Amino acid sequence: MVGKNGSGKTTLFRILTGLIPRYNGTVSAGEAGVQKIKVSAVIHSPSLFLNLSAFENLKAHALLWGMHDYSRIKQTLKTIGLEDCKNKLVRNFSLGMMQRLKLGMALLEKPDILFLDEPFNGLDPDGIAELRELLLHLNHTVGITILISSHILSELEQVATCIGILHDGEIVKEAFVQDILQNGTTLEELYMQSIKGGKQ
Amino acid sequence: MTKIWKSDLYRLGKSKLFYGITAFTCIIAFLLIMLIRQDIRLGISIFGDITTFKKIDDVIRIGIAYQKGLGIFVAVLISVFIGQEYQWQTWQHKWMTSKSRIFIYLSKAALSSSVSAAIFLIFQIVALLSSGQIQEMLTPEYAGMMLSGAFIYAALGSVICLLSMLVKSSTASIIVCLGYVMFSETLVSMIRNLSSFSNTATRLVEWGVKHSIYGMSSIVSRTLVSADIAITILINSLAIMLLSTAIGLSLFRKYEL
Repeated sequence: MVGKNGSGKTTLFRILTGLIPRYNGTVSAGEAGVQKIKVSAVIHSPSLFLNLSAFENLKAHALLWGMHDYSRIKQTLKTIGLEDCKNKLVRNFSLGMMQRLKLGMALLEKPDILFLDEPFNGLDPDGIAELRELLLHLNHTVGITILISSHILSELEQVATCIGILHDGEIVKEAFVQDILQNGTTLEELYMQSIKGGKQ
Repeated sequence: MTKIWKSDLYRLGKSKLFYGITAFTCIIAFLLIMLIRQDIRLGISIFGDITTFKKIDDVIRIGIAYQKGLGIFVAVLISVFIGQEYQWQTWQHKWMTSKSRIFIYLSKAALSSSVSAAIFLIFQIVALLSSGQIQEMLTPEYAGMMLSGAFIYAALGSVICLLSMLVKSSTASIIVCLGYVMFSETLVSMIRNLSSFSNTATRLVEWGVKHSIYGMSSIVSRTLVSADIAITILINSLAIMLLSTAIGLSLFRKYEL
């Protein structure tokens, strides 16, 4: 999901995850009555207890799921690469480490769909590369569908399968990234065309 | 709700503020009793008349007057604990795990009431154990006072939870909760003065004050608690808890988290 500041990306995510309680319309995922979809999200905000360690943050979250098997926490710490600093207070974490920990919380109870709001924000090039690898691993190997909102079009080109361009609260363009690139267009060009051209 | 409660309890158990306040409560209770046992008289005044302790019983009663100390600890602890959820936007965790707002609020209210009553009981138990007069003090009146005090504090916890949940800022909720605790006496005297123009208004205000948390704590900290008084306080406290929870639930469910 791509869009300029204020286009409604975060609001859409907050509606999809129920953080905004009142809106018009309905949100549905999967086929009704067939399967219960597990949704998880990392919304652009601290959303971590800064006075607790990484392990304690995950444990507090695991208790919300009713999980008492802490081997899952250890496994998650390993997946997100924070095993070595599990006892470090989160307030001493870098932005990249916080982002990975938030992702870890979202992954604790393996979700079917994962919403990530601006996951690359504030990360250094190494952090962006690590996160990209992790997202591709989660999608290709673990089988999690991931909906990402981001400004960094070059990153989306590398991780996204399908792209939606949001402008003034409306999706003005939807396309497969592979098709766009095969046509010799970049995401940036498509984005500029779409917000000038309106809904397509 | 038990999952939210367990998670909140775990977080409280990791809070340095919680242990600090508990330790401070124990130290104050112990020190006050020790000073009185050494026949050193102390005076305490927080925006009110000076209170001079003359006997051990006075220290135990001062625990019930929440605006003179323990209430401040309770207000800080609960408002910080709840305020952090707004400050760090960690409500999202609960929402992501499909917890309804009703249970989120109920868990916070139950935890606040329990913690508030627990701090009061810790103060009383430490004071009682340090006094060396356990036999003399274990009377039905004293048991009634302990029970009434615990319920008054549970109601106080519930109201502080309401204020903290509705003021969506950590710092502001600390100020509001401290204001509520420290200025309740001033507020009551102001309302009394304002109502003095008519007998009906005076009677109405007196009835309200008598059944408020402040009024109940004044009664228990001044008089011997009979069974009738204890039952009235118990019912009043439960009513305050229910009312504050109902108000909190109706407003919190509309909040953007």
